[in-house]
Amino acid sequence: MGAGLEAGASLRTKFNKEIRVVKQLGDGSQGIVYAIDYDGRPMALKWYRPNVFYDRQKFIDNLRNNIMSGKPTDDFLWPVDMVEVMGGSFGYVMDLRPEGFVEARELFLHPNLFPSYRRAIDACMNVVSAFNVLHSKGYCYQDVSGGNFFVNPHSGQVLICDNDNVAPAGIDTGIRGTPRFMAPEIVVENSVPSVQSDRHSLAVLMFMMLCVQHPLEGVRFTKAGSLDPTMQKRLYGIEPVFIMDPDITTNRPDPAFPNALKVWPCLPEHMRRIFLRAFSQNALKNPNRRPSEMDWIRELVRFRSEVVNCVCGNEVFLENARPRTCDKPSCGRRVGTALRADLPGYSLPFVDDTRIYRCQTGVCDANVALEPLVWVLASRERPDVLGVRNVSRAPWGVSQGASIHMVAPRQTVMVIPDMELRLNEERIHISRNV
Amino acid sequence: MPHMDDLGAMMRPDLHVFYVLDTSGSMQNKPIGVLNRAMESTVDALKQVAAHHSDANVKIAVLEFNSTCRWINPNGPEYLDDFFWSDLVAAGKTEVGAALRELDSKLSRSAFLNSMTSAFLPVIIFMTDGFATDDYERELQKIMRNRWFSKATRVGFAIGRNPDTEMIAKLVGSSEAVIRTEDLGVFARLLRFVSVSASTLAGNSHTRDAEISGAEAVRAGLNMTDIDPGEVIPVINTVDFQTPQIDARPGSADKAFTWDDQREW
Ligand SMILES: [Zn+2]
Repeated sequence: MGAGLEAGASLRTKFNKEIRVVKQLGDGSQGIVYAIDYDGRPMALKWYRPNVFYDRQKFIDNLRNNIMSGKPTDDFLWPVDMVEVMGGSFGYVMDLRPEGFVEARELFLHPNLFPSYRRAIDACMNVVSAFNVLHSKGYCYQDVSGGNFFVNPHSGQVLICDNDNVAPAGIDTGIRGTPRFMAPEIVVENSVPSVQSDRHSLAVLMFMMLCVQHPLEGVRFTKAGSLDPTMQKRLYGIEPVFIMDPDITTNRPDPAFPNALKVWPCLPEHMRRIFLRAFSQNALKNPNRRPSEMDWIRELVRFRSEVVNCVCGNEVFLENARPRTCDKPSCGRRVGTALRADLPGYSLPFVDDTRIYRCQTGVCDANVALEPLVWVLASRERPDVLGVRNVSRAPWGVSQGASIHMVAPRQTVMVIPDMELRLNEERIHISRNV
Repeated sequence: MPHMDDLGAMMRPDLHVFYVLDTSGSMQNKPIGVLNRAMESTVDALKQVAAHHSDANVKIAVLEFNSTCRWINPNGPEYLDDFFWSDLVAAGKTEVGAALRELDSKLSRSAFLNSMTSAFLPVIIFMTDGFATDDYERELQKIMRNRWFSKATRVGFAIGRNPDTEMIAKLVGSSEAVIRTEDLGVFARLLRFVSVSASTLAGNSHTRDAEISGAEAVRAGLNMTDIDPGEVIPVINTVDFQTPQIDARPGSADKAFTWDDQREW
């Protein structure tokens, strides 16, 4: 029978808080989401339909555990309280989705919701960082897909929802994930989702955000004819082939759907490398060969600061800060930056909005990987005069020659060629880019 | 790097949703009016599904049948964005077999299912309020050899006073994939909900072993409403009528059976 709640209905939660239903916000296969008044605060309630559970009691126990342990980071719309009523219906309370966030899968249909490519990279960084923290706490998400998180395309911020699925790694909750995002071993053997299968789903998600195409859906997919379950099992499970695999060329992107063909050649070499690694036959078949969250974060923080705007407005990727020709066909200008930052292993263009994160300055914990340290800003008066702002919580130093100057949090100092940033144990040299 | 505006929507396979609708004479007056409005609101709901469906391009095709049959989109299924409902008129016989023959001829990659991408197994929704006036069983046997039909997510609506519920169950392969109601309001609601659930389920990738059955789509559609499944899912031939084993001697069965003495003529 009907699972719905009436507007105005009043319920009491596990933590003995009074809630009142305000209105329905959304309707999904598992349940309905309502705006509620939670003890005077506007919140959301996810109310389950009956009979959607594999093991109802286990699900409730897991949900209760998640509520008690608290959210891993602010990137999660985490359950904070639950309601159980006579007759077996139940639901959980969480924060409302703030303004400006859209479902990630809307971005697959409308990639231009992102005002710039850089914001798409930011969103990837934030989502992989959130999962890094979740995994480091011993959880597995089990159902990473484009339908389970929201993105603010203007800030790149993400909000991961449906955290009722989250369970300690290794626990079988009956969830197998969302097709297209499921790892091959789950498709083929129906195995229990793991941190490693989450990693496959994350890699699919990032390829979809950055190349606006599914990494395994090439001509073998478009020419399959009927996508019946047998065919899908083959494409995603038994014989998955990356559309950009250097050795197996039987599943290239269909030229009728050229998104990946347009983006791939523009990507910096190191980004192509990590995608090739994530979707290599080796990683598709061996879950422990997949890049970890930290592997992705390291490439993405580097990538995000390699994006530089040509004067034509086009975004150009400058790998190792090397100047190159703008790849907008009608432009052809030479794009380069006056300065570059030499980090251990690679260099970054040093321009307005270049960012340096904690994970770029040595070994660090999962939860601080994306802690901002340095932010480069063009001065208001002259765009070619740059400043570096300390966006961390502790002072760091800048030096030139023997003199060291300490920069306090939120302080900005002018950039001088050949100065050095002294961040933790690292020294980052700012060089002239000739 | 190409501008974000130069990147199209991500490639999605097609999902064809077929409606095979009875517009015979018995549908005249109120039923055809309700059907027209129900289809209009169903199309509206499907437009919303299609606009946010990141896994499938939803397309619609409608075949009406009476003494003959006619595609509303003779050039093949159309994207929901391009589709607007035009009212149907009821008249004539109920030539179900002819409709199946026509459907069979179009369910092929070289006919209505040709597209740039591959296609999911289609959704096919039947609706009738009467009995076939032709030999539909022969045509059903033929179309069952077409995989696009036999593996499709098929749902049937049997409406009005006296529909051939058994025929509809045969067309869709199971009585649990049939919705039987005399209440036209319930029909209109369920046509919309079941269309949404069927196209959502069938238009997601399924890496499991079985196709999405019509019965699953019906259950999911009902789950979105407060309608009791027991009220609309017909029971067909689940209990065979059996003659009770009784002692044939006159007067000897009295102890085993009782009859209502107060019952009025
Ligand atoms: Zn340019």
